[in-house]
Amino acid sequence: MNGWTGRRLRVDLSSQKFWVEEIPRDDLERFIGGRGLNAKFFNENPPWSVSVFSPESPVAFSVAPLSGTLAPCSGWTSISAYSPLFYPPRYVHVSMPGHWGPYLKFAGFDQLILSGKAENPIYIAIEDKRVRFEDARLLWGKDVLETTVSIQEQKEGRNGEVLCIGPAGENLVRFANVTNRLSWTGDHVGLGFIFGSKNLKALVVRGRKPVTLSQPDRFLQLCNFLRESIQRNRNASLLREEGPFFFLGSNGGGLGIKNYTETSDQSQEERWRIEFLKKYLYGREGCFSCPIHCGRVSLVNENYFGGVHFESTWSLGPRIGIFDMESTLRLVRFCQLQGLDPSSFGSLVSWLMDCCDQGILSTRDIGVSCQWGDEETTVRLIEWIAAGKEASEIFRHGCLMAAKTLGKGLELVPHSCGSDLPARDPRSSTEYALTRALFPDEWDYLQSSIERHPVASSGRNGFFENVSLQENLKILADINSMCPLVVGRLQLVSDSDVAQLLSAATGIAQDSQKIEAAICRAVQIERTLVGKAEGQKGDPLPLRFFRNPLEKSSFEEQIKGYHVRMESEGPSKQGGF
Amino acid sequence: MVREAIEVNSISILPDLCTGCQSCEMICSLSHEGVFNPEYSRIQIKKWPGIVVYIPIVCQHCEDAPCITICPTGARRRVAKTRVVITDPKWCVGCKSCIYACPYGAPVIHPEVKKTMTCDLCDGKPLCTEICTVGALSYTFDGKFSIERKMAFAPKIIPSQRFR
Repeated sequence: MNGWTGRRLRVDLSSQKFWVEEIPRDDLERFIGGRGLNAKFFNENPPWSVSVFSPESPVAFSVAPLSGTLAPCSGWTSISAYSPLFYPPRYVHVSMPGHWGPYLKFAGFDQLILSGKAENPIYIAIEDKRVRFEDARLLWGKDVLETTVSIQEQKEGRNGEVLCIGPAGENLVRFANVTNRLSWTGDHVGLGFIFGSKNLKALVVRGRKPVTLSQPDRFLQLCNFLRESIQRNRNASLLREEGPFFFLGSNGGGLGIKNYTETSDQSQEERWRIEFLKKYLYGREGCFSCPIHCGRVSLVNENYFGGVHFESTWSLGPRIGIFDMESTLRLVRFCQLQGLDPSSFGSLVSWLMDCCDQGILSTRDIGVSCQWGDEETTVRLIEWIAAGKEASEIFRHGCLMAAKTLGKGLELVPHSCGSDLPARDPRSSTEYALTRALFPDEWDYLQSSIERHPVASSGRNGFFENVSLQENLKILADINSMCPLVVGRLQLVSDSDVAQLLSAATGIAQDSQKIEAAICRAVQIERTLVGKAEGQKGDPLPLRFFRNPLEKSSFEEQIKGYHVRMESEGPSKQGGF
Repeated sequence: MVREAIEVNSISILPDLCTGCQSCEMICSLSHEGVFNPEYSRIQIKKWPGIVVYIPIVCQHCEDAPCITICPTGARRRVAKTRVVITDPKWCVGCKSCIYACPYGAPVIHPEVKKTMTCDLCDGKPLCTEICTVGALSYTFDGKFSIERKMAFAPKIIPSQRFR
């Protein structure tokens, strides 16, 4: 088979057994890969009675035919699971940048499904269709850096890619993440918690399986053409020079400061951007097969580390009242090492600080008093939460749950449908706020900005059409393991480009219509999976982001209207699923 | 005695610019083996993710190549016209002596054939240098690389010459 490997690896941690399944050809052609394949798997294997601690709760990792090839920006991995961030857990998909996904392909698999729970801490080493379950008791408790270096230098060699958790995941912090190469993380799905609950410290993949193509010459020609056009693009050049900090100030201002009590203006954002680029930027890092290399490498106090982007620095910077970039970078690095998502953690700390500032919470309630800009307390909180110390029990579940447990501060929690809000202030634009409420699990900066979309902003389409177009671009990237920034936000690779690449890779004729059908199928299944979860989806946006309750009602009506139109006109009619 | 300068081109590496994207490994494995996999590539990126360092390692076609000296079958040899050092697969027995002899282990063992292979400079247009978008790999005559490194360093001592 060309492009795809056609194989799915199933690993059961309880029995420490693995087996390989053939993925039906029909599924591959209809869902392509990545997000689509994950959705299909979960739809056919619905654990309706899943509980957060249930070892049967599966986690799916998928890649696409273009993964592990020279297709530009094709290094992303789709991860799906029933996320412990929500009560009850609901189906969530996230895409993770970096290098891990292509190595799963090189090991000979399009998809990996993990289930069960190991008796003792282990890590899994996947090498060329062989799976080893290795004792990780000596690694348990180590931070992400120590884990990756220990595994690579002492056991598995540098040719593999490591995906591991830190102490936060081990101690079952709900918003803990998994990290690859210390720079790329799988966030927003509580994957660190899931790994920790399964006693899984790391996933190491290495492979010598060649990825074959149907028409290598044609594929190379297309890749070269796309890479050159990306190189020539002005926005791509800016992204290469400034990394994700390029987005600061480009939307005309509008990031939340101090738990959204203030909103940034364009000059504040530019100062933040320039301070990082001038003083702390050391080098660049790139995802697999990417011609842009937007990863930023920082140098702070003789520590070199990657994975710095404006979301993480803003969340542990102005969002919690810290306006000094060096302090922020220290916090970001510490957070990353513990395996904590800086954005979610910043959300929690900003809420705590806001509550303390307004006298809603005090030292008696939470064991510590934190005021705006208190770096020392923030460091202590990171240590407590990651270590699972008793005083931090209420914070391990995120700020919405902490507010509900304490019975205070609920109105100040920065969330949308239970998901932490990213850096951008929902009040900066109504269209942005609506998109956030409709797709709360997506990283904001990866989404195409509706105001800057050439079709969407032309005024020719209505809100429903624009939002659907936006989300479909993201899904186009996700089912092909491609970068949503390049495909969705900057639109440097179109659906017809992807179709041509897929045709040359797999030998199966693809066109924009077939790809659109695959997108529709993925959307339809995901809506079904999320819809079937018990309980309500949650408050789309807290009242404090509106001028009055009437405005909030009108907002919720628009959300409802979108869902109604999706049911009647959405993908169910086009997908033919 | 008439002495004549010989100009040799080789792939020069600037590891501080390498971002670890592995595009060079992909184009090398595709163009030589028709498939994608870093382990089929003659250029390999060594990674230190803890300190974010990526170092491309590729055969430098040494003037006094220790791999040629040590090769027991004569499979490692220099192509006279281009001065490129290659492995002749007809003669290679896969003993790996060339890897031990090489100062940085440049020869790669082909995962299927189990014989060594090294960079052949792609008939004078190394594709890895063309695909690298950050300038970590370039194809230059050997003297130019030396000049480039000198010019990269020299400005650091300008302050001591002018701004005392």
